[in-house]
Amino acid sequence: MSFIKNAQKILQENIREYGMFIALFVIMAFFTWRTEGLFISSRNISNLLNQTGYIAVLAVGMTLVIVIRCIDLSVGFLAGFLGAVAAIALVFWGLPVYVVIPLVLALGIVAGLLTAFLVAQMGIPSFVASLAGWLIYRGAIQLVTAGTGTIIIPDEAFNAIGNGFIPDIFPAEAGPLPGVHKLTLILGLLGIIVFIVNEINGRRKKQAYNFEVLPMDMFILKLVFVSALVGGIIWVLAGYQGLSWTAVVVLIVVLVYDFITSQTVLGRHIYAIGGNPEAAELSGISVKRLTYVVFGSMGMLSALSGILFASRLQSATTTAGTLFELDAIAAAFVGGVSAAGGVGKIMGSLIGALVMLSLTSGMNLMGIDISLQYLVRGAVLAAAVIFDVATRRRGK
Amino acid sequence: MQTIELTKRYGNRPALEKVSFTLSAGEVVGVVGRRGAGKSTLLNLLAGLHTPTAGTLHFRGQLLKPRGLYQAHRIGIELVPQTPLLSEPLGVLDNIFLGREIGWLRPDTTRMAERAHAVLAELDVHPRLLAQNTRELSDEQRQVVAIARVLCFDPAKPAALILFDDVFTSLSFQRQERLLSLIKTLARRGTSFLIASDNLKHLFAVTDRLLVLYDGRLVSDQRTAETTPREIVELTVGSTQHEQVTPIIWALESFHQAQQQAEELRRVQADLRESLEAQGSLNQQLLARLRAQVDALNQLNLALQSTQRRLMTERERERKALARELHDQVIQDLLSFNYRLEELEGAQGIEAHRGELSALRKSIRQIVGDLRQLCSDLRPPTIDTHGLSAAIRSHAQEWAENNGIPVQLDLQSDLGRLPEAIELSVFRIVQEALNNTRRHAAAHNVTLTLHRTPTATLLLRLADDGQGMPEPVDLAALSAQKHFGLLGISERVALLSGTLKIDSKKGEGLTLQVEIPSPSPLV
Repeated sequence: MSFIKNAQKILQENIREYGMFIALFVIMAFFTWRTEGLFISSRNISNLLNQTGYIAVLAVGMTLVIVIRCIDLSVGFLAGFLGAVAAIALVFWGLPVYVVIPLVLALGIVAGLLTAFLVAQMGIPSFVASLAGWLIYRGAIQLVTAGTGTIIIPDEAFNAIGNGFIPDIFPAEAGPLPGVHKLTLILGLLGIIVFIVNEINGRRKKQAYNFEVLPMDMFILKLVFVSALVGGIIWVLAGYQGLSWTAVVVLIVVLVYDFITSQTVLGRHIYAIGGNPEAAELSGISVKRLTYVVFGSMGMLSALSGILFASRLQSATTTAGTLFELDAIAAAFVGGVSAAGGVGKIMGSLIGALVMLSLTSGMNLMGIDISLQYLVRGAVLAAAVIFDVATRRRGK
Repeated sequence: MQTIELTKRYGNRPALEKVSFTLSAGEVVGVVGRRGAGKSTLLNLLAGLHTPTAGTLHFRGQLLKPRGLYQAHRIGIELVPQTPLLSEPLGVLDNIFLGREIGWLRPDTTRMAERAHAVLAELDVHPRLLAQNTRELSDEQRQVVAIARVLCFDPAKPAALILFDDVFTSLSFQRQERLLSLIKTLARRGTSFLIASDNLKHLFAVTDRLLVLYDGRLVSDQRTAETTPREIVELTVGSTQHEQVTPIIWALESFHQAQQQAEELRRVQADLRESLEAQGSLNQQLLARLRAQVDALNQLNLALQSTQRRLMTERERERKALARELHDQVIQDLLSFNYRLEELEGAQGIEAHRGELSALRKSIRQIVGDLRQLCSDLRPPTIDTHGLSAAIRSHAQEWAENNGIPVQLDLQSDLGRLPEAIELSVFRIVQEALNNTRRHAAAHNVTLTLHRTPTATLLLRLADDGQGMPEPVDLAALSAQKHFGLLGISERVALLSGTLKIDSKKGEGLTLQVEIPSPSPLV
């Protein structure tokens, strides 16, 4: 009895935090039921993760931008433009992959710093500054692809990023568990173990300082729930071709950014600026400097997104990146980032991106008309923000 | 630290005009001025929060280009603004160390907490402040966090200059004192302070020098020891006229005094309330315990009463049985012996023993008579058949005849029948009371009344004109002298939940009044 009561209490107090997981779970269960298991099949989940990749990467960067009370509308076409630059560098300049990728990422950082210059130094609202970027990069992508149209990328290594899977340690049919991707399983298991050890350490540390922690039974429930979810996804993926390179890239980005925002001094400063810019300034934080950092990282992630997209299509098109920025912003808001600033987690945005992409994928599988799909996605976004505002008001 | 002709204008309005002064290491300098005289502007310029319109700042011999608080913090200049601004999504500890975390990548929470504990202890603040939600802090707690922020520096690398912009007002009096002594300690270790405040008393207690600003201009810069509060106030107000300055000094002094007193009062009040509450709860506990004991006693009493009542009924039943046994068995047997003796008397051939037999019969009849008396004592024969009034009447008559003392009877005629326990008890009370009168009173007249009152009680009053009793009547003493008469009466009365009243004066007779709650008469 007290277990259920505990669960209710924790859920009510942390509904903002756990609401997303529950929503994703419900959506996935719904589509699995409506498509008679097709949705949860190894192939579809693998596909879904690959599609989520380039939006998720943008959403991660966008989270930080929104947390410091800014917005960046230029990221979609910037990603498309940089994807085209990558294609040109590979095809026409003949540069090798290992040069092209750092080059494009560096260009992304520069583009981000440019926006940051306008915002921090000139005091232009980020909405306007990035709208200018949106127009400029849209023009730029059409300019660079004007002569050639769609550029086909023949480079195998580059295309593997968006389409390939990590190799297995054993041949697929040999060794224990034939037909299952062993390395994926091992990595998944390692990930779960690291997660559990981390959580236990964090709990100990909090207790040492008399901070509030979850009751023991809830803590175990959380560990079991997350482990089961991750384990389930890993198992499904291992049944197909294992972890894709896109998933690996997204995971690395998410883990790095999650670490930065939740553990480091930099992360604290970013949230402090979002919470109260004046207070942050008065405590000796350089808001300008952090604006550069956040927009720079946004630019770099835009470049990464462009690379993932170009690699997935194995080509650079004139319309690449259209509406990516709005998908990323929607994913961040669905993932619990607050428009008022100072609130939002990287993990949440990843889940938000998964929710939006699951909706698209599921409705495609069910054969729902594209116009209805937009209506549903719009309604979900509105519901997520209403939920956010309502829970915040109750919190005060 | 040196400023040369520091000027700041907001639009056309000058806030600070050509202010120049120097500040050496470990010096504590106060800044005084009226509201709008430029105190906050000066501090904000020094902290790099604002850019001066003209003039330069030099720090440790180098020209200082103001590039935000961020820069100032890095070279050791710290500002505590007038109103503390905190970042609400972050915890209190993170707020204290915001922008100055220990550790470059991951903040070292352990060391941060240790240092924060030390600083909070200096300010006499409980460390549980760190566990509170930033959103729920009081004004004073916010100010404490803001002050702790600039004091939480690495002891090996103390801040060079700390600017306090009127931070005392929202602190409690004791904490103000703590902060002042902390300022003195830190100044001795080489940290300079610039303190803007209206509290001249504090400034005179802690500063080495005082700067006076008047309308954005520095009008005085002198050592604290060489000046007086009056002079400072004169400069602050910009007038030396006695009638203008005196009220201000007086007002300032009395204001701070009043503030201090109010603080003290509040503290004492809180203490008082606390101790009152403690006492109240103690009282309540005692009362509760007492009540519990009284309850237990009551219970015991009730149990005792019911036992006694049972005992009494039992005794009456015994008496009744005994009386019936005597009457139906022994007396009948004796009477039949008597008849047989009578028959024998009339028989032939016993002439020699006739006289003896006749004597024997006489003594048998004597025994029968005695036994009958005994029976009626054991159980008034009339009470079962005719009721209480008849029994009392017959007993009183007998008593009067036996003792030669007339008894006036006033018995309610329509008394009716009462529960057996009450009837018997009242009868026994009358019996016992008359017994007492016979033995001790030496009375000439006895009046006995028995009435039903309008309040559903039975009132029995027995009055005599005898020698009375010494007052007050002490039942315990009587029982010690083995006089159980009154004690028995009082026990019976108590068993019927009635009241007993004895009215007596030496030589003026005695009135015994018994009131017993009684239900309506049985038909």
